[in-house]
Amino acid sequence: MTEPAFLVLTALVDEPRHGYGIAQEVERLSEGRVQLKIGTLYGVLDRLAADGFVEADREEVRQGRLRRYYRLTDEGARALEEEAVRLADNARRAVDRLRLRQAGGLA
Amino acid sequence: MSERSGGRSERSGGRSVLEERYRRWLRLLPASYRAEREEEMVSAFMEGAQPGRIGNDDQRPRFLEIASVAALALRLRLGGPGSPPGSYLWGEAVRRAALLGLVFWTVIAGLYAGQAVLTYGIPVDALPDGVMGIGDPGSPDRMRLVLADLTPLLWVAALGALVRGRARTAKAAAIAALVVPYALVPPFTLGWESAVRWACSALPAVVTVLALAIGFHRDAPPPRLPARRALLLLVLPIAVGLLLSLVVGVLGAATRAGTISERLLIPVWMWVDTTGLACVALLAVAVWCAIRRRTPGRPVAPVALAAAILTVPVALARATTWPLGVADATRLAATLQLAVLVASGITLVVVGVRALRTADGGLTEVRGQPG
Repeated sequence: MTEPAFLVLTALVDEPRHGYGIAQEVERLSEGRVQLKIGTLYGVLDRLAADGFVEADREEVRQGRLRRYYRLTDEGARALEEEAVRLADNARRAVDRLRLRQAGGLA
Repeated sequence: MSERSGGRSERSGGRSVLEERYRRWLRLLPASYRAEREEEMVSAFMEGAQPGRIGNDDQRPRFLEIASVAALALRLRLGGPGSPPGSYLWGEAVRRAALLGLVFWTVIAGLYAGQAVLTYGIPVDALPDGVMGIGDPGSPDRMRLVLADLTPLLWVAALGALVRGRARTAKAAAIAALVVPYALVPPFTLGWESAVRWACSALPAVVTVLALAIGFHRDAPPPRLPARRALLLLVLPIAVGLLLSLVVGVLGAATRAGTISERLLIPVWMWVDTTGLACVALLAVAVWCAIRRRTPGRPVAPVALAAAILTVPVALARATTWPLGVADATRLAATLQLAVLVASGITLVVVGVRALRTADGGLTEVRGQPG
């Protein structure tokens, strides 16, 4: 799973969001490091929808503009959890080894 | 003020100029995709727009926004497995253009490497008449020229990476193969006319790199071939290139010995330069496609369209390096090559389009495409 896909799924965990809302939330989650451009965002959404990880939730018209909201599916939540666990395991192993190195264990 | 905060003017039927500009760029996307997504994409763009001095009317889409839409359009129009049939077919055509191009440049790499061995005396005095290359042995000039002859081997690396499923490595190697030779031996151009000629002669390689860059993407990764098949795909074109280097070596010796008449010298050499060899290769593909056009289960459309794509830069390269003020035989050879390219191009387009029509929605028969 790519980082943008991971962040998009994470952005949809708490509530359905529309395109710009997802882009904003991804920027917040990554502390400004990942700024998804709209073309890139929709490419990611297409792939996630094709995999069954997200689906359209509802449509709203605000100030004459269409907002289509997307929500995380159960399958998407499972995929995100698996990926999060994998990343957390990797991060934990890295931290463990760095601690060992600092303690002189691997030096 | 309300217009500024709302970001809308009364132009274009209530749409701001910025919105119109976004919609114009979104036309890069396929119509079916636009019908589904345009409104929400415009909405997302406009929500992220920063109003300027006079609202949104003095704003323009930012470069990265346009680039992201262009990249999405390319991925959609050159689709991978699972994409709509039309987009998948064009994706396959571009990907096969990249593959055919890489195979051709691998032949050229074999030819150049073989020639480097013969010309620069590895082993020394390999040629019957003891010809030597430019620059003294061991000199920086000699080193630079030998390297320039060996850098086409980067095409081999690109093809190798591609057939083993490593698209990024293949792209990096292909770009290096395109650029490094010119860095080692800068092109000699006198005025804009010769610069245009040089640019056109570089087009066939540029198109190969472009096809590789845009054809293989996240939704259409290259398949990883089994090691033996991948090796065969590398060894065969290199072997052909090495054989060609022997032919060129013999031709060179015959030229120096004066066996070939001066009148026929250039016409003969025109068939073993890069454009001439590309011409012969495209003719061979056109004949192959024409013969195989009715073979069931192996649609030729993507290959025919791929070769048709490659024919365009080769024909341009031939046309812009047209021999002027030279013997009739040379002009005849150039005319013949251009005629072969045009005929091959037309044949390939006709075969490709007819194969599509015959299939009648049977684009799904293209291998790898789920029905």
